[in-house]
Amino acid sequence: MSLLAYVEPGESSDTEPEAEAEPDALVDFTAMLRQRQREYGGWFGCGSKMQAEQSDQGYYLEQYVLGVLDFSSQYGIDYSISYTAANVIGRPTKFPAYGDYPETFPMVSRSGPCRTVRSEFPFNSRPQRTYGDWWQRAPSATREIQAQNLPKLATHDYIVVYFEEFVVPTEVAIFETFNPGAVVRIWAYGLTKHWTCLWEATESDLARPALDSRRFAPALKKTTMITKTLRIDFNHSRLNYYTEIDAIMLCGRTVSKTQSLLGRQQRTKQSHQSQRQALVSPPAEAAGPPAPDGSGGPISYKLRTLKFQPKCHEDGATKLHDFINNDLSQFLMEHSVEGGEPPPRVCLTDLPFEILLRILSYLDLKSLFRVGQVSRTFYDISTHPLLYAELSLKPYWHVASSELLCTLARRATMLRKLDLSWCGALGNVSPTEFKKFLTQRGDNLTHLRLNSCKFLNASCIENVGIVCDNLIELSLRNCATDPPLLNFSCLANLKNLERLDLFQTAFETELLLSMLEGNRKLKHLNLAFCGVSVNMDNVAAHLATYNTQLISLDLWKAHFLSARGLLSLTRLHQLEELDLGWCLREASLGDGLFQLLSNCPNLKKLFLSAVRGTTERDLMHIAALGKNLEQLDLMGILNITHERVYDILVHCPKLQLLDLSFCDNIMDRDFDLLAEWSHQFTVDIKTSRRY
Amino acid sequence: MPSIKLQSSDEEIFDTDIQIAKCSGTIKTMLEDCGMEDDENAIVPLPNVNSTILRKVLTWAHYHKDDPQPTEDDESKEKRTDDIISWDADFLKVDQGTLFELILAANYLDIKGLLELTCKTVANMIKGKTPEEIRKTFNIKKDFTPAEEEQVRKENEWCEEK
Repeated sequence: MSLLAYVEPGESSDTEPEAEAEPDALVDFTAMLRQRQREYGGWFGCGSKMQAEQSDQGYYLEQYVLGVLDFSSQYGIDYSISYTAANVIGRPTKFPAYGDYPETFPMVSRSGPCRTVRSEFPFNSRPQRTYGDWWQRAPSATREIQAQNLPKLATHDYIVVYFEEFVVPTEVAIFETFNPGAVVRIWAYGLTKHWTCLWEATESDLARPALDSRRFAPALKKTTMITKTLRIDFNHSRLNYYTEIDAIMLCGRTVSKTQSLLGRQQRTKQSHQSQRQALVSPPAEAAGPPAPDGSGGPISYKLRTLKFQPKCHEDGATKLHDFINNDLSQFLMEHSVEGGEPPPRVCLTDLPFEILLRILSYLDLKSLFRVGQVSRTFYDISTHPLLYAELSLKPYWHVASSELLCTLARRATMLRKLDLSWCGALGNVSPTEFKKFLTQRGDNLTHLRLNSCKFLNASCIENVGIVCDNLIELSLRNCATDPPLLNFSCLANLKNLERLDLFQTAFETELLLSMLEGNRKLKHLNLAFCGVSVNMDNVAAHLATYNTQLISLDLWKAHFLSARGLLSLTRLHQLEELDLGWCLREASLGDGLFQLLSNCPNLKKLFLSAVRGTTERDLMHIAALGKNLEQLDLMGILNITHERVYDILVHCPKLQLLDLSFCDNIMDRDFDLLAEWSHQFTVDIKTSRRY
Repeated sequence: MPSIKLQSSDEEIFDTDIQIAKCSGTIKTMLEDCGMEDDENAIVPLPNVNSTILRKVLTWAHYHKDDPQPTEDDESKEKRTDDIISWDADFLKVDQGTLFELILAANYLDIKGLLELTCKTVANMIKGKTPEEIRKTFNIKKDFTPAEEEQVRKENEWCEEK
């Protein structure tokens, strides 16, 4: 049940003022007050008389983000403020300028990216490839679990932000300063601890907007809810390049009588609940007229289908009596209602069990639960364990709860794949319930994704290690906590992993080394942005010894990977995908890249963003040996020339994506040439042209 | 192009291109097992399918005769329902009885693509509806006891419409 459920009935009858009708003049007043509040250090905030003067109506308020509660991914790293989610705090710093700025918030949800710490890297830049569908075409691509749950425009990334004051929201403005058009949903978190979707994009909203900065403020669903917490969902699939958000503004009327309003909402909620109960089980005295559901015989069914509603206001009984005596037989003849035979054709319920099961297997989880409310037969089918072999609550992050987990644990006795990413952000999933669920259903799990799960604690992870020993895939992206969640031994029990994703999650090196040794079948490993304490040369040596079946490896922004580590990696002959962005900071790599290209002929994706030791000779090797290359990132490699680019385009026939952003040697003079080559070789060439 | 004769339950005969008939796993097996493939006059009886439905099935099979064979691997397929092509959507603008009979026929004849399509179509008729709307759509009676109903309602609290 969401906030709106009991707020909306209040809208018509309520005396609360319409927030939109507020005169603009008040905006200045508010700004003035807020200015004063800043000047005098907040005296105004603690229940002063100025607030009392406003108390009846509240006032219209425009406010910018005060802090970030949660995000699915970000481009920056925690000890630098460049490109981090925290950059959406406060007023726009760049808007209305357009371009790529470290002061904004780009996202890096998918595979390995690159980024900058400005002190290390002299020019502005770089986020990564969450845009388009490149990540889906890479060898490391994964399939969504229980994909039928996904809305048409799925969420790839999100950010949760909070503001200073509660308001009834009338407008949310998102300041997009680079490649706009990724926002697909705006959510608000109400006082009653429910998320309400205030706006959702349709296909037409995503028609690619102009490449210019914009203040995006779609028309919100009307609501009387009170909020100071927003979640913005992003979908990058239509973008040509990554997006950046400068600021988010929440506008609306403040609520000074918060308590009374909350009380009113709860009263509305109660009356709504009792209304619903009345519908569910009508009291005896109300049972006279035909029930509005599917019950009743064929005649009442026929009458309903004909929308038969005789007008009988005052003398209803008499008229009905007349009708039954005089016209009923005629009516029945005309509409050929046979005496007790249901409609003759095949009905849904006539289909065999296995076909109904198949039909229900196409339903999203919500629809599956709802169809179980239809009748006993459908309840039995809808709770069949086969329909719960895959479970993803990620699209239902806003309603996922301990209670739901408990219900699902009863049904999902054949569970194989589980995705609880994004769930539990505000305490509605308890670690205890999660552990209970795992203990009951974890032993057959082959796939487990717990990305950005806020309920995880060390004991939960311990449980995964003990119970889920059949795991083939474990994904713990963005689970950074202090102290790290992943301690030595907690996952060392797992021996069957083929995919391990620890993007943006800190762990102890000893744990990783023992896991690599224990999981010889490992095919995909993501250690991007995993913290500063891991010596990647040691990891690379371990990989070369124990994990020679590795297909994809993401080391983006991994510290302490040197040319020695690169040489180890060249022994991974099956590699199809390698992201070394922002690694290998030395001036020379020796013949590491040559060895890599010679020894790993299957390489399809190679990201060398800002690998500053890349030489002209290396680029010639790429052209000579990269026969299977499809995606190549050379961003920020300063000494690349357009001759070398042409060379690569000519000799890498499978190339589809080539990123040359911030390759200063070719940037300014060769744009037209690059555009021509892009067309000629059908390669998407990315450049960081300034606007 | 060699053809065979299919006989519906109401004894209508359909002269059918053999390649099209073979999109039905059932017919394919019958032909192969009984060595009827080269016999121009052989009649394949289909006692579970009436002529109206068989005609529809053959229309569908004719349109989809060049489709790649659906893979057996049911589990790895994404269970999406938003990928129905417009020809199929138009083809299935029929009353519920016909739709369900098509499902039964596709199941009996073992035509994977048609079974998948028709089941998806029914799933789309269920998706996003309230339990009451589903009952109305398919004329289903609610037969829960009050206690059962309360239990189901509790389990479903999380998905109640906002």
